[in-house]
Amino acid sequence: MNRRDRKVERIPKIMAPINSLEGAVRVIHAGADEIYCGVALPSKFKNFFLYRGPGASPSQVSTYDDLGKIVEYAHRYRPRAGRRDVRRVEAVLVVNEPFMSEAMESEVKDHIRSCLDTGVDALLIGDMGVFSIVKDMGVHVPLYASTYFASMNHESTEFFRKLGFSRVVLERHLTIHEISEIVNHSKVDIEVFCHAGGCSNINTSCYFYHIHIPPGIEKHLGSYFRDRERVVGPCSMDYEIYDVSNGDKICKAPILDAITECSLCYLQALVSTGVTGIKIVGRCENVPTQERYTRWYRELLDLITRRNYQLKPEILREKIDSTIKEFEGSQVFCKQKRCYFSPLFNVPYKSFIS
Amino acid sequence: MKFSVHVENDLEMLEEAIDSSCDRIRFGSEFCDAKMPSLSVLEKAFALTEGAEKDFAYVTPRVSESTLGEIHEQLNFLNKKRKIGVVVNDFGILSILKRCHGLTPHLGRQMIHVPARCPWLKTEIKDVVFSPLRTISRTKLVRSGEDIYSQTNLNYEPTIRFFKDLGVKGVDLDWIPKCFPHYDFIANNGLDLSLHLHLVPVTITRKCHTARFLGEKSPQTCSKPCKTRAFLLERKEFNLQLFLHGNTVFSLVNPSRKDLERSLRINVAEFVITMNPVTKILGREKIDSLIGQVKAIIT
Repeated sequence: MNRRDRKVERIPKIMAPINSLEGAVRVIHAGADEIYCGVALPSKFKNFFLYRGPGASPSQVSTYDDLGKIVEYAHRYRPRAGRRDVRRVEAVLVVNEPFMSEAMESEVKDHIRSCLDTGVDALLIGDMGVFSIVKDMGVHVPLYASTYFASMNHESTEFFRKLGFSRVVLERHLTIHEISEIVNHSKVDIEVFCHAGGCSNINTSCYFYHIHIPPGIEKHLGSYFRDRERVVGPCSMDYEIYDVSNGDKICKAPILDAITECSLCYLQALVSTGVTGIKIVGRCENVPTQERYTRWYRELLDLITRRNYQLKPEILREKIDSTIKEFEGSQVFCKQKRCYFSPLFNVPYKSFIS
Repeated sequence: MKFSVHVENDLEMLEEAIDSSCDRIRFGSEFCDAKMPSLSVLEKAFALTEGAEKDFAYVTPRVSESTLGEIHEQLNFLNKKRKIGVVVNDFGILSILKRCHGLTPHLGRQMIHVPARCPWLKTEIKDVVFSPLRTISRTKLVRSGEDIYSQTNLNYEPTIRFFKDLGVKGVDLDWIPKCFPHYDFIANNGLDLSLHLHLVPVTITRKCHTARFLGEKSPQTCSKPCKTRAFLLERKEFNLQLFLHGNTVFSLVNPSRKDLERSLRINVAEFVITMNPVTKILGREKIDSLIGQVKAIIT
């Protein structure tokens, strides 16, 4: 069986985000094949974070004890009857801040050791310094290359495979065709993001650190905030736009806003690329949201990949439509075509303005 | 110390750069694979530069699967020439270069993480609460002299060793004076420092903000309006000014005399001057004037 044939047979795992034991229990029952989480560093650097971790933010599991309970629960859980290709739910530890310095070394080493003691199944790594630490420690769990390495081609995925990574998470800004080509040419497992947090910019090169918006100010900031009153990156803000050549003001618009949210309509195409995992963003979300996202993708994926069953397009459409109805804000997202894997030059904010 | 001029993909600009007093030409797209020169343009650029007896370095962006074939062709062409530096912003390209013994990898800015590129770390934002600013500026980290936000991910010896083992000889860094003391660590561990004089990349996208704003439909058909156009993006209440050029948002810095003097304390191998609509350095006169000013301060 060649690689293309294997793609047809492959059912991607669903990777669900958690930040608590309760979240782990709920997403696992909702159908997650894997859970992923980070843990806050315990001492000196607990406040240091660039994006989401390893600082002490709500997106992190609070303590190593909590992580231990989460891992134990995941490993004890047995999938419901009929679920294929899953032996047990695995817990992946996120140590993927794209940063390491001499000052942080000993604390990060202790951190990784404490996490490994809980029995986590794999480490997600996003920096060569962290990778060096892990190699130096002789860690025996699988290593996954984070999206912070911004892999966008098979030379990159193969580079990481040869270094010892068994899975590579691709950059978000890729088309279905590009993903398919990368899978075709890679000998390593390929994982992609599928829901929430479809950033306007390439994650690893983005220094638009997110801003916490106090109540009342969001209406002044930009179009996206008018519908979603929560923390969103400054890429969604309105900007006064001037032409550099003559200084003329052109307009005020959220010119940097290209956020995407959902790939339910693209899931069938995504499965056909042969990716081994689809990842839901949302370590900073509340538990019901984490559970809901996981359930949507589980149900739709089970429908799409059901064996010995000819899925009719109208049945698939009906299922997608009923799922989207549950999605808070979906009217706006769908109208603006804020879809993962939509054309790269999509202009969601313009449809809102018009 | 050398002065390089970076020209993206424009032979007319290249001729201006070659006519200037710079020591070295950097040619190619740093941030956008849709804007990479074709093989024939690269061949012309190399021939022009070689004819003028200036050093040549090829600048490469992150590349998608769609443009990987082009990069292979280009690197094969350059590999047959004399020893040439290639600025690398993609692990895939770094991997290809292991097979090209005539080419020397030099880490590009997308391979380096520098938290201080965040504009809010230097901007007082009164109306919003920015978490890292709130937490970090008041933590013991700063007070203890371990200002982690001014460091880079190369401030860790094993990381430098990892890249050196792959043949990397140097690294591109931004003009962020508060980071200079930490750049010294990188130089002391054996990497040549190339300092960009004006533009600090704040964020980069493949969903090109310029192209989307101007109605381009896809990277394949993009007319590359960024060759001549750039935009100033402003939020006055946050005292925030950013520049959008193509798929990249920059903050613009103008090196002061004091900071140029500070840069002397670190071992800078190369100053990089970028020709584009944001720096407004578009011709030989401006390049020569700038090089003259910098030389007057540093010599």
